[in-house]
Amino acid sequence: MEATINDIDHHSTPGLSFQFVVFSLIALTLMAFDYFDRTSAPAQRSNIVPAVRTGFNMVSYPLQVMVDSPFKMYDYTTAFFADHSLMLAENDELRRQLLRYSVKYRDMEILEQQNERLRALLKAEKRPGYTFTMAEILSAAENRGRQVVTLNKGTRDGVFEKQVVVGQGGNIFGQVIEVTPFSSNVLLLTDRLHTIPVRHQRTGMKALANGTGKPTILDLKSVEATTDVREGDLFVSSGLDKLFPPDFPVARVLPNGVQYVPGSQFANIRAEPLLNFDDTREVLLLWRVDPIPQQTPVATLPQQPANIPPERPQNSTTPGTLAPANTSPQEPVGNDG
Amino acid sequence: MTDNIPRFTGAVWLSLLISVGLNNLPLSGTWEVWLPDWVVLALVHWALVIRQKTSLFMAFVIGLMTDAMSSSLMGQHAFSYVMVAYFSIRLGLRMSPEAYLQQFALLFIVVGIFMLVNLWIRSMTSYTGQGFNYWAPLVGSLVLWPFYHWLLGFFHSPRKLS
Repeated sequence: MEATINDIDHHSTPGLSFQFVVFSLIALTLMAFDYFDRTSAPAQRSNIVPAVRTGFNMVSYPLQVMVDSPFKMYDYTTAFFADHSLMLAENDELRRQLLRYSVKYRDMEILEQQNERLRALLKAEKRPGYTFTMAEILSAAENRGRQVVTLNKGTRDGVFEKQVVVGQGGNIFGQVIEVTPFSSNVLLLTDRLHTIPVRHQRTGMKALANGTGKPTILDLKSVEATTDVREGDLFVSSGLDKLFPPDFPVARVLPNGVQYVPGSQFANIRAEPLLNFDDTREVLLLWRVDPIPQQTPVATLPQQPANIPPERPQNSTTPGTLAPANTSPQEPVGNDG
Repeated sequence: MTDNIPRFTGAVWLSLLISVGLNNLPLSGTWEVWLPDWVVLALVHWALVIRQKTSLFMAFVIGLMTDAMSSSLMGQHAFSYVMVAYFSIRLGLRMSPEAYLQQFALLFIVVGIFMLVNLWIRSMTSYTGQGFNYWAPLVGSLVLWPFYHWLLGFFHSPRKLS
């Protein structure tokens, strides 16, 4: 053994420490830029780090698809070998539901037309409509401190940044934070850096729902201690942020979720999101269909005035296949008024 | 001790990509908090087995991929993976790869540094984790290390002395 002492065995490769210093410096620089981008105003942002991020996102997309494929295969095979009678029963139930909903939908269409006409009479702004597209969750990065999932739809399908994502039963799921041509990353409601403005359904009181990093708990901030909030109360989105659509259910107050701190002006309220984020595999991407295109700049966010208006008209055409009836009632009303 | 070569070209890359895939499995469950960072285990494995083939560049690129996929601060995992590779190469020089207890000590130190750095960066960027649950993967990596070490043995073979 003494004879074989040489460079290879007892020293690391030459230049290892130098490499270490160089890569660490690059990584630290990237982190500094990214952190600066996150905390500074949009006008001062550099576009280098987002470009790098999008590039690596695109590189890792095939990997994500590959990782997801066995799970998808499992879903497919279990569905294929499902019990025949069970399937028939399910099919029956779904058909009945479809019938019920189609009747309800007719009713809603009539109401919508009526609403349009009344709004025209009152000279109120027209109500925006929505169209949806289904997307699948490819992967989740929940064990890295962030509540972010990757969807299999990207700019190719008309997805844009800050798009609203809705889960099962029309409950709000989150918003899109990054887009690549094939995929998009969605920030969940429960991420620690996410806040959504909500409204107490019973009293109409406004509040903010903060994510806690735990998939089952939202913190409600700035609720005055004198207001009447009870266990099991429902909070819906208020739409004050002009991003999330109003009146979509968000969270329900937990048992023993309302706590009053002596001396504090505000109550501590913990609520449970209505969605089970762990079990969600499919979500809906939501596009707003504005009745009057000229009014869109009013509704845009202050952060990205240049980015959103050109995307709206383009998006209203792409997902139109799923909800063709949504735009039709608006035209005759416009002629009437 | 350095008589190992990769079984085929790109074996190291492939094993690292598989580890990234394992990190991104769409799992849910309470036991999930115990799962280690597979990339760290793979990097330590390669640093111990063939350190000439373990370049910091690899760790860097894989780290950037992880950052992009998990929407963490760009460069966070790149930095910590480069650190893992560097420290395990340097510390690996001081021990023989057959000494299992020494391996556990090394793994404990390296994974500890990795998690500490990540926790530090996370709390700087204002999203800290989940209390003591954050340290569960440290135990998980020690428990799963022999198994993963053995599995990754598929990717290299002893060099034939001609």
